[in-house]
Amino acid sequence: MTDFSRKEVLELAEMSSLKLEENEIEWLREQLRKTIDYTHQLDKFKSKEEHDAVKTINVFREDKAIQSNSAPLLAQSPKTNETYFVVPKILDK
Amino acid sequence: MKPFMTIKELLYGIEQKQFSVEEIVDFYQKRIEKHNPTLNAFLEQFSTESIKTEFFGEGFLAGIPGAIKNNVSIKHRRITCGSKILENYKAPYNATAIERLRKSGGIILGTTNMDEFAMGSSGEFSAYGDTKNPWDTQRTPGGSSAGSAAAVAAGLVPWALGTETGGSVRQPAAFCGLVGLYPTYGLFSRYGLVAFASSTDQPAPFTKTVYDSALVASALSGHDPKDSTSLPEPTKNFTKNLDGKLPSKLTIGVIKDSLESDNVCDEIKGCFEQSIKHLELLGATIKYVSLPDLKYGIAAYFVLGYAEAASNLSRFDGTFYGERAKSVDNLIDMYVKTRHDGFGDEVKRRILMGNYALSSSHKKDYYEKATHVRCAIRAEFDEAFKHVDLLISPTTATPAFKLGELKQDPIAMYLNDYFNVPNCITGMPALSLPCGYTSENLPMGIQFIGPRLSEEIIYKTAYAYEQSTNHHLIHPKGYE
Repeated sequence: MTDFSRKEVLELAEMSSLKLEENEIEWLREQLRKTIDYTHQLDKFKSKEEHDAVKTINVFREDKAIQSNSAPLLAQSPKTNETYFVVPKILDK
Repeated sequence: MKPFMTIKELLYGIEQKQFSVEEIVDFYQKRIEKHNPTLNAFLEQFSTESIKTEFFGEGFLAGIPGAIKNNVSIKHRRITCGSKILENYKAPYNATAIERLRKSGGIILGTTNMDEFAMGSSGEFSAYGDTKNPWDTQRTPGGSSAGSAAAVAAGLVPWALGTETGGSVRQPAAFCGLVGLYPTYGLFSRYGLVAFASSTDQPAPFTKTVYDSALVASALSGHDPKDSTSLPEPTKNFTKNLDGKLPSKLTIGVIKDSLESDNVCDEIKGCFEQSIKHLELLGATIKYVSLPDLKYGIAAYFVLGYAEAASNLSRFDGTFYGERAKSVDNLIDMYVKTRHDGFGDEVKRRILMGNYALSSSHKKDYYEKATHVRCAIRAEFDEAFKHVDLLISPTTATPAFKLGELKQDPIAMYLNDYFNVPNCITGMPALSLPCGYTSENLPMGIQFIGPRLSEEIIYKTAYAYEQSTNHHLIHPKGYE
């Protein structure tokens, strides 16, 4: 059985850019444990043979400039300054 | 006009001038206004005026109203994905699916409720309230395309678009007595869909009948250069071979494991066995096929689906679209608070799981193993299709469950999609349609699964089956 410590849940949350409330931490610990346990069924899978990986191919298209308008995209952002997205400052002085 | 007319009947009515397109729109808008307060299937209804300017056109769906799951982009309309984080976001462009439905003359009356970012199998994980099943409003319509399924089942629209990643169209179709398709991966364009697990996401229709499903699917078909996973296939006409006869020398493989599984309830087993006999009477050769690796499907899907979701949902951080948390100290704080306030529990859980499975120390144990199982299941299907033309199984193990019944038990919730996930992770098409009703008058579904690009055989077979039954003629009480 895979157990998750409180610390591990918090590390995962940080990696996922998520803040967790106190009551969410315990709930998620339990949920993660249950789900990971279920996925351990995969350990029972014994392959008779190596199967080919799904064949992937590159799909290219011509590199052609097309006219586009950024205004409708910018208009959907919570904060913009005419031609770019505005976010809070990244570095402190 | 009468409730529950099929698309075919509506098209005939328009042609015969029995009613006008304006009358059709008015008729369905009134039905939505009457029943939506109970069902909560629609998130938004478009104004009659805007419907006329944007969707009144020519084509083989001209004048036929439908509804769209709210994770498909319709230009200038709200696209919430059932989430608070996109509450006021408006799509800046049309998804290819919308463009194609419009070009076929399809009319869009509004957008439908769904589990947040299509994560859920019951409609209970929407930030905008539960959707109810018209067959029994104490029960779930299934999910994640909950609103689209409930809307068609209650006769609020004759068709609706859903999206499926691992059962999100076929499971609600089975729970609501509808026809639901999962196409060959890449047959319908994903351009303009909000991504959940890109390697299996597909848009797909809900309808009351097989013919109607084939019609809407035809409108959606065709290569799209805007989606690099779109198959280089021409536009299809899936209705052309529907003559009520099975394909000649058809061999159907019954997935034996689905009859032996303890998860499948007795009523569904009984109904499924009846359907097998029925298909045999229609002239199909029946074989029993064992597919032992299918049982790993859900576990593999957990890992693959979570991993892709964690990556896809990293874009929602308050910078480019949707909501942004107020009063933040710096950039990281903005990301973290926006995502905390905007995402529901189920989405948070899947993101954490996905990042766990993808982390460098666990990648080998989870993601790589799941990828390996995915290939093995594909090989197992490929082998089976050397001996049979199509496979059949029940669509779900139980009929619609009660709202609240499984909400706290994610494993039990996902087991709903036990029979739906394997063909999704291998990109193979499947069609669910009604095969009977339980003693409590709840619909049950059977599904035909085929090799890649076998939609024409699937539709021909399903149509012949449907036309020799009366399951598609039964409607939920109180909506007639």
